[in-house]
Amino acid sequence: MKRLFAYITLPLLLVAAAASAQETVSPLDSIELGNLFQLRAGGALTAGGGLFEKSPEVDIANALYGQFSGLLVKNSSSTYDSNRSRLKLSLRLRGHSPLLLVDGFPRDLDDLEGVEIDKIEILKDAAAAALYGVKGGNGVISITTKRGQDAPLKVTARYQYGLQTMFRAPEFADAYTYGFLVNEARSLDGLPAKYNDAELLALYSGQYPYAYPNVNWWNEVFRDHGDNHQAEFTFTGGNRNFRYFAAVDYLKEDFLYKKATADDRYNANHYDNRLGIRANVDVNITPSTLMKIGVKARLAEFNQGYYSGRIESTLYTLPAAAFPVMQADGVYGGTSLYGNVNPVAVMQENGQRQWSQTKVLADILLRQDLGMIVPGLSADANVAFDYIGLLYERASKDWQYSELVSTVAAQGNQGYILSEQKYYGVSSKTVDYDHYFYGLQMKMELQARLNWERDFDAHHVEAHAAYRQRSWILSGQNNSSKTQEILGTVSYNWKQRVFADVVVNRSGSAYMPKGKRFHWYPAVSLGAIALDGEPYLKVYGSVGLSGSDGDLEHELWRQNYVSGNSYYFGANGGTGFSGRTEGPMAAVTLAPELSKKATAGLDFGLFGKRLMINVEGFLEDRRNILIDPSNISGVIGVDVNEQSIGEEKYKGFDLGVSWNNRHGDFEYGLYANGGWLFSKVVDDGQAYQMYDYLYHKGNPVGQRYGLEVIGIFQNQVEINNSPRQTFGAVKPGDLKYLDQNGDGVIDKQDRVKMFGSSTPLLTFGFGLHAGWKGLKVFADFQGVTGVTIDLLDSPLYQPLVSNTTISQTFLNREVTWAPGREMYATMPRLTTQENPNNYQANSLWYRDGSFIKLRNAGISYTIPRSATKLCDVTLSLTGTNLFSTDNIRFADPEQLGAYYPSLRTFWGGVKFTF
Amino acid sequence: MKKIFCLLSAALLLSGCNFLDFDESSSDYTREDMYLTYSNIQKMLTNIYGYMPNKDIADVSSALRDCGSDDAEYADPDASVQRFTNGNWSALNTVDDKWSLYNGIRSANEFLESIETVDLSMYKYDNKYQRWLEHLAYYPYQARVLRAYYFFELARRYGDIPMPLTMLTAEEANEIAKTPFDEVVDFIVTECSESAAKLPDTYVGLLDDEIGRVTRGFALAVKAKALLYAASPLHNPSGDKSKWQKAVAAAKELMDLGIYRLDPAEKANNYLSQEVIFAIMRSESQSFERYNFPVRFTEGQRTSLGGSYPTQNLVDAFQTAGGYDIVLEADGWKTADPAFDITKPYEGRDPRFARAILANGMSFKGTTIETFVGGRDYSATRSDLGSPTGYYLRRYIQESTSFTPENTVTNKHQWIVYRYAETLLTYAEALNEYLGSPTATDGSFSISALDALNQVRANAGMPAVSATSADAFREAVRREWRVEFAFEDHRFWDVRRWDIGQATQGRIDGVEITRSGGQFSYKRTVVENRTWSSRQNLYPIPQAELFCNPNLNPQNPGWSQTTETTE
Repeated sequence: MKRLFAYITLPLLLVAAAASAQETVSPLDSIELGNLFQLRAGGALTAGGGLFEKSPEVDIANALYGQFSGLLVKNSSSTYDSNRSRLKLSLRLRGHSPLLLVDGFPRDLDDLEGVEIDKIEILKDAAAAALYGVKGGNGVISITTKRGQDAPLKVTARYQYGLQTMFRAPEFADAYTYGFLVNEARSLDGLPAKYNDAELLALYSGQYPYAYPNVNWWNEVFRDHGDNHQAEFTFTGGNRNFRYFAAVDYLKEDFLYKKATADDRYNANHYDNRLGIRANVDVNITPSTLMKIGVKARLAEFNQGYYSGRIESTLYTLPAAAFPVMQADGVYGGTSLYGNVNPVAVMQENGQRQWSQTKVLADILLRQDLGMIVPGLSADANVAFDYIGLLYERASKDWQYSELVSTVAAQGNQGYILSEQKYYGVSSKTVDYDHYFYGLQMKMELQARLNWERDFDAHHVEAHAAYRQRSWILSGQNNSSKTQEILGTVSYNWKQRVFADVVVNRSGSAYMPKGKRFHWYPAVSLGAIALDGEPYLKVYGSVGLSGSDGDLEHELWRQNYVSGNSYYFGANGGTGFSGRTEGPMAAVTLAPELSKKATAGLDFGLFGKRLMINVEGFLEDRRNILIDPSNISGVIGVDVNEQSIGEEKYKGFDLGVSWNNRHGDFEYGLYANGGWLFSKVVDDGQAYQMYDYLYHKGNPVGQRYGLEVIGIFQNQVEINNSPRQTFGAVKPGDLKYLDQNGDGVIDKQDRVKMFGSSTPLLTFGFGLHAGWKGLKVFADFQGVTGVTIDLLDSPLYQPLVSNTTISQTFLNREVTWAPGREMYATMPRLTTQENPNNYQANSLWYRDGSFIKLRNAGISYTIPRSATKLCDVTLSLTGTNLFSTDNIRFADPEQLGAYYPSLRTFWGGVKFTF
Repeated sequence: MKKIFCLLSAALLLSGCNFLDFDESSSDYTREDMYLTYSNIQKMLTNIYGYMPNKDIADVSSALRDCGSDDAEYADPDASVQRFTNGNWSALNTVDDKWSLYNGIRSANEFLESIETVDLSMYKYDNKYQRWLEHLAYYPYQARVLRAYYFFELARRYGDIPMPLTMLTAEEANEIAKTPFDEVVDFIVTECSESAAKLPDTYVGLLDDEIGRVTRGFALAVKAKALLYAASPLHNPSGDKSKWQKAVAAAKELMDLGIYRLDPAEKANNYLSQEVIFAIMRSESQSFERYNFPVRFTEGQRTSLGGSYPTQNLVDAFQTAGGYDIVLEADGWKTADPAFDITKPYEGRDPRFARAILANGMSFKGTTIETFVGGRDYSATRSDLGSPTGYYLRRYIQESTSFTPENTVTNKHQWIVYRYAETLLTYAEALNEYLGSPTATDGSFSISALDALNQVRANAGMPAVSATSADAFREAVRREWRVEFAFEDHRFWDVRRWDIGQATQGRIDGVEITRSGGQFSYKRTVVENRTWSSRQNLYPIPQAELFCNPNLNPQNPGWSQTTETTE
């Protein structure tokens, strides 16, 4: 109730106050919502919304690749909520996931369309982090949406088509190649052949397409392109007291998957369909009262077949010779060994899953000038309420599948086939329907502020005091998070030349127990424009504390008695009795992560700021990282909760250089930037180790460790004469490891630090743009280096293991060990077994994951209104993810796993600006 | 305007106090809450039962522990159970360490502390109140016997063990010293004796028929078992006869109870047998059969290597029905039994053979097992998912389990922890050692060791043995342990307590059967050469535990990691 009271009364009071205020004061239409607190001293990287016009990708995070030094855009390990095939992009600012604010409130980049965005700011300094207290420690990215202007109506309309093609799709071996190699692998495993000569011949000739099939599963599932359609309208305008911006957008994406037409009782096609509306309204209610309202709503439908998991994981593992798509009698192929995984059947016959997502993001700001009370005084309050709901309806059914169990025996020159048709499962006669509520997010945030701002001659002084509370309610137990903050800032500048900001934030997190919730986060930043002419030089720096409660969980601080073991008592073989037990012991030390940051940088301009150089260095000491205590004996007999005792250190610098120039109608620009990140583990809770080299301490965060491969065993004698490898049976052709500690045994103690980290050392971007009258061209490159990736993340590099297939992609690149080709071998022998000796972290599988990619390149031409008599017409052609230069070559170095294919997309668009 | 400020700040304060209070826990019971109602007290005890080893039948990640002995081989060559036999076992590379029993022990300590002060008198008008009190009277003794049994399970692995009797703090856990093996056994004996006096003989017809709980019989059984181990050569190298005397006396106490008797029927999955003293009951499951059926009966459900397969070594331990030894050699079966037809080597054997092992020609699920080369249950290699030894497991298999799609059958299993035959063999083994003769009796022990052994054989349908010397009888009783309790988790431990690993654990063999015409010929084949070292009589203490608590040193003999000194 009290909370509700606060939400309702505060805005009402301000409205009332506004109505009673009669004095005329200066217009208030200049407030930006993105980052209400304009700190001037520290450095921030800023870009306008034009960034997003260059990159037409659906996920607008694509537009950020290589644009800001220190910001890494990378594939995360999870897929989108509304599009469950594709990996979601995530952001890393100097090694951490930043707080992303949209119009001042924490939201997802995925909530927006590029056309809505007016400005994006990357806030890396300590003062900006302290502004957000226990949520700001990872750095802040602030996005502001477009607002209306005091100007006549302006309308734009745009349509865009995207042709999606696969980027480095794998190619799998045909049935004969598979059969031949599976025989080789089994022979090297000491097993009899899977196929006899007559059967291999059958795989080659295709003589028995049902018993010895040759299916290109990839081509059975995928077509050669996907389609993407986007249309959008924007309307903007207004007068002095009422201004508006509105956008409507529609998207339809048809994925690369083939159409599903087998059953007309449901629609199993794979597509994404969504409609979004943005309305931003600014109203000067009275001359001293400003109200800003922003609403974004999106309805999304995502449709797919009713199957769980990803169809791709089957495509990467199912041999061409496993079974036919359909048997001769029209029953789907499948075997007792592989089960009912037939990808065609799964896509066509399993039913439908129709996801529906509703998003509403709403915020309101009310600002009242109180200059009539105290000169320079004003108050504002803003409230946001966001709702995201996801549900799905399913139509599902089972299908029958069949196997032709066969052998081919040789008989003279002719083979003859013996086969027996087996059937499994039954085809459902009816379709089963149900619907599920899948997830819900409700975000509520309130911020109320008092502002005071005065100029005294050349001195400008500004102070703010604010209260902020935030609750993110997520469905599911203990998933929600809440914070509460009180903060104050004081800013000073002299003639816009010398700047100083002081921020003090006291914020608390609901993850912590009562009495330990609140922590202080102070910070200071200073800056000065040392030279304001030719050359231009600004120097700045900051130091301060900020926090992060993102890794905390609820109830770590207390011990519960929880569900325990069950056991059976009673007659008739017993019935289950449930048990209860002491839960994990409470964490003794628990605190939000604490980031101590210091930054220092300079902006340098030459030739009338045509050449701009920005350099910024930083140091970060990060403490209270939650880790598992591994130094308590198991004799204690109970788990102990994670403790906030980890520590990491980060340092590095960001560099940006740009050159922009204009000669008459011809303008052009070049830019390049890079961010270097060096990290160090100080304490990750690692227990006592027998050898110094086993400690993670002092190594980079994400450092790779593994066994050092020193060759391939050529024969049994060599195995017998080498240190004993203890991971599994070892045969000639298996990997030979270095005995690091010389104890004659290769085990976990021989794993050493090797190569680099899974986090890049350097993230960079560069590009150019040029324009002449209506013609524009641009190209943006991005890359990373100093990153180590693991080939075992790719299923292609564990061929044939556990009844999986082998790829032509792998065969074209590697030579596996086998008698007769030992000297050419780049890979250990083929095997059909798990082979824990070979398939574990070691120096053979680690590869340099560096790449440079052409993220987007385009050309556009604008026919001016003067020519069309109606409006500007812009025609554009863009390509995204056009090429990559890297060491991996066979796959997208950012995506080795069995996921929806990486895309290379060509876009054509037309835009009318009325 | 001032009003606004007042209200503004008031609003801040109002929402400030409790905004961060957040509670979505569904399990926020405190320790006190757990002892306020009968149902929660019962749950706390149930949890302690849940730490019973072998509760999922195949206890070492899907393998029978006997795959670490010469009785069986596990199909997957990379499974953790292979560490027992392939030399890869170490303090860093542990297997079956059962350190989690300390969680069960802590739970028992917690329970015993808390149950002292339980007061349910506020429920005295509840019509179940009296029954609850009856139950509760047994509860602490059940927990004490379980705790004693868990100490036994640890002590037979590690010898000297930390023996916490309170809920340790992190500091205490990192400092606790080891209690010597004999003192652990003394504690087990005291606990079990005291508990046996208070526990009921059976739960059948008592209270809610909660069969499966700890009875007086099981308390005495744990005591007898611990004393047998303490008297055995591994822990009694000097052959102290008083230790044997204690073991035989404990067995006799159980015999004198008079409520258990031998049962000619199969005891596996038969918890109602009069012979069963303690069995673990489990829910319906196919996983044991999925891994241990001959693969053709699994309808493709077995997709990875797995399953425990009996060895020829074990098969050789089963005599002919006439009581003669029979072994397979490279050129066929050899026996002195004139009545035995060596062309049908799996017929006319000790009847317990067919209960433990599925062999060629036996009938199973309405068909005949064919393990001869080219037969339907023959596997040239392990990856064909069949038997690497030529034999399949029979014990604990529920034959009616079916994987036929659309017609699956699932069964419950009951794993025998202790049955009466063990009491008799404990008595026989211990009395022979105590009195030095199989036929001797004295005032306390009126049944001779030989009589006790022959009771077990007679029940199995085997002729009596007539060993006269203590040495010959020792061999006979050891064979009896092996065949009577095949795949009941005995052999693995017996090899250790008798310290006979060097002589028995070097190699395991299988059979290769070839058919020509209608005739089978049999050949002994090597399945695996194994490594054994006497250090394997005890488990290595996990290295990580030694790092946490230096007082757990010294490491068990032979298991120390060669440590480089790192300054």
